[in-house]
Amino acid sequence: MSAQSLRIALVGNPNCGKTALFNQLTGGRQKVANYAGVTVERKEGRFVAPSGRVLQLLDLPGTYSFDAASPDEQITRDVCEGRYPGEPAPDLIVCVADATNLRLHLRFVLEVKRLGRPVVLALNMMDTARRRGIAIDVPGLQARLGLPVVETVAVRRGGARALIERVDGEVPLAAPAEPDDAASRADLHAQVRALMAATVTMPRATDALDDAIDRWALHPVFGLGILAVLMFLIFQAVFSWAQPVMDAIEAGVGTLGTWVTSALPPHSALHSLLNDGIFAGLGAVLVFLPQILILFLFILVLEESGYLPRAAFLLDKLMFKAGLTGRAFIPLLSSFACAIPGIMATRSITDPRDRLTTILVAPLMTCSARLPVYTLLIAAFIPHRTVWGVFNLQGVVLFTLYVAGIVSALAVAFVIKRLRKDKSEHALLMELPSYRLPNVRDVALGLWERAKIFLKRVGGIILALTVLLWFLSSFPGPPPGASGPAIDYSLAGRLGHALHYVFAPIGFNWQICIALVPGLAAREVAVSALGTVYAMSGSDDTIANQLGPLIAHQWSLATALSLLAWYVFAPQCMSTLAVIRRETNAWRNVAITAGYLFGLAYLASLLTYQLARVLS
Amino acid sequence: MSAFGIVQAVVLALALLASLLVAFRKLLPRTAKRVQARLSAAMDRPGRSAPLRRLGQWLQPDEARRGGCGSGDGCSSCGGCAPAPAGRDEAVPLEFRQRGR
Repeated sequence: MSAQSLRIALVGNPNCGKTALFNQLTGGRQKVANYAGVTVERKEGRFVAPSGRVLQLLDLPGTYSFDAASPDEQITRDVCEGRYPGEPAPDLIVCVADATNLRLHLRFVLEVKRLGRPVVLALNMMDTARRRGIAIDVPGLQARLGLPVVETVAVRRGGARALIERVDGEVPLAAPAEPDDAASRADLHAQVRALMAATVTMPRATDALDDAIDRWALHPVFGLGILAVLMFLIFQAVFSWAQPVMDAIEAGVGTLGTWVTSALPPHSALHSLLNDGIFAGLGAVLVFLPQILILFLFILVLEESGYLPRAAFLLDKLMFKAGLTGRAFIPLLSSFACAIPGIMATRSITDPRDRLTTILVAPLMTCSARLPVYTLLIAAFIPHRTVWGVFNLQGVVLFTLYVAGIVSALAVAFVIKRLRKDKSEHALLMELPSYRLPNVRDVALGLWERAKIFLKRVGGIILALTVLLWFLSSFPGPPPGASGPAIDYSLAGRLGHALHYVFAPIGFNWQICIALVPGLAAREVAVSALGTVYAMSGSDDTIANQLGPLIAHQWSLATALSLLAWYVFAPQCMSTLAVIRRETNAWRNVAITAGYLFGLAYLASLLTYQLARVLS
Repeated sequence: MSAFGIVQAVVLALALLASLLVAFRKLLPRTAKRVQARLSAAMDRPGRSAPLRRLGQWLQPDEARRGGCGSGDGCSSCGGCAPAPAGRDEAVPLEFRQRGR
């Protein structure tokens, strides 16, 4: 270690504000939320203290004890004990504790102190503690613990000033290491009780407002009703609020396309690449950005409010009956954004069998990449009208598709439970955080990050695959005297016609078959691919830029419903399969996931298509 | 071929090449890094011309340039100088053990 630098590890119980402090200190934008288990990996950042010293900060997963039960907790233990491969022990440990819940958090502080390393205690959320009338004798606590204690408010600008000043000064002396055995661990509880009695005064154990809200939110009947209404309203909003912005984006892309291509000869290859490939393809995907952001606005607000662990509590019984543990709720919820962080979040699940089950069903949760496909088809085939007086029918269908994903995940988990004949029970132990008003800055940053991720995908892999598809749809060119559209003679056209034999029973035409192939890389690529394929097939460029009306005219309702059913199940995301391989260390699990999901997708599409044909 | 035809062919070829490269790096990241490292090593070798060596150095995959310790801006920037193996995988794969009977 150089004299000018310091390696600092942020540790503490889950949901005490470590990542918020990390972001505040380093200027990072790591995900924060008001529930336990958001951070499952070690994150690294650095900042320069006022003295000019470089401080390297490690944000570690939250843990209640060094007696690690889950893989994410093992990382924290190993780093603190200096046993993490290739990582020296930190020079200083900053133990973060929630000032409103010291009875729980001080136990871990004492455990950290026993490591015999320099420790600073950061009492976080001091503003909330004061508001609730909790009085903490900080000098007294400092004297009794024998550790420097500072007050922080991680979510407020300048709320970490005291901590910065402390870590920028002399490194505190380490307390002597103490043995770690069962007797001394039991003694920790007695020490916490003594510390609390001497230094903390609490008017009541829990917040009165939390209790009042929870009487309704956790009610076995009303609570489930509130959850259902919330979810329903979210999907209504996705359809009702986004339309004006979507129209504006569509018009903007159209105008830009016309302007860019106006200087080029109309029948040149470059004109076709720009018009039929890039503008038709990317424009078709870009238009869904407002809907994705509206969905994430609600998810972020719910995450920040502290409601989500309550939802996990409400659904625990149902999840247990289906063969999932309550701890699977957060990973499955993360999968609504993207299955990849959801699968990684399963590291907080202790039992390997429960973890595997959650990994296997996570791809069934409706990720945001499905949204462009769903909304394209819904907007094209489901009439925009009001049902039961208030509800938008398109929103109702979108809600049903999300519910279909959840129900399928529960059904698959139930089958896995039956197959593995597991009778063991895993009780859900989950801390219910205090409710809090969402921080506008965090929500705005979260939305900005999501928009960036989406735009990066549009400008990266989606653009690349759209250009490649344009080449495959353009070459080889039609033979002399050919009368059909040029795409029929191209490589992509031939591939589409060959695949059509397999997909004809489920109602897919050859254009859909082509779109499914690049759509394997990422689901929303299917939309851009459809845009390109239809633009290449038709002659009217104005129609080609509006994919929705075009497919509404050319496809049957049965085909559209069949494609929707396909997308509920099909594992059209190679990155998800790669993460399953990494997290389970076995290709077998990848084969099982891909096999059962493709099988279910084909079966669901077949049933949907044939039924819809009979009924229509 | 007309001047427009030549420009068009060059633009289309570049677009195709760039798209192939992006797709290759996104869909096969490990293989792409291996190929990149080999290419870089082949170019940045004593006896090669200075521009080729510079291109080879530029092509070096990120971890190799940073020394594999995650220090971000190169050696000694972190102050820790941890002997971390390059490309350490932080995944914690599932491990099953026989249940006790």
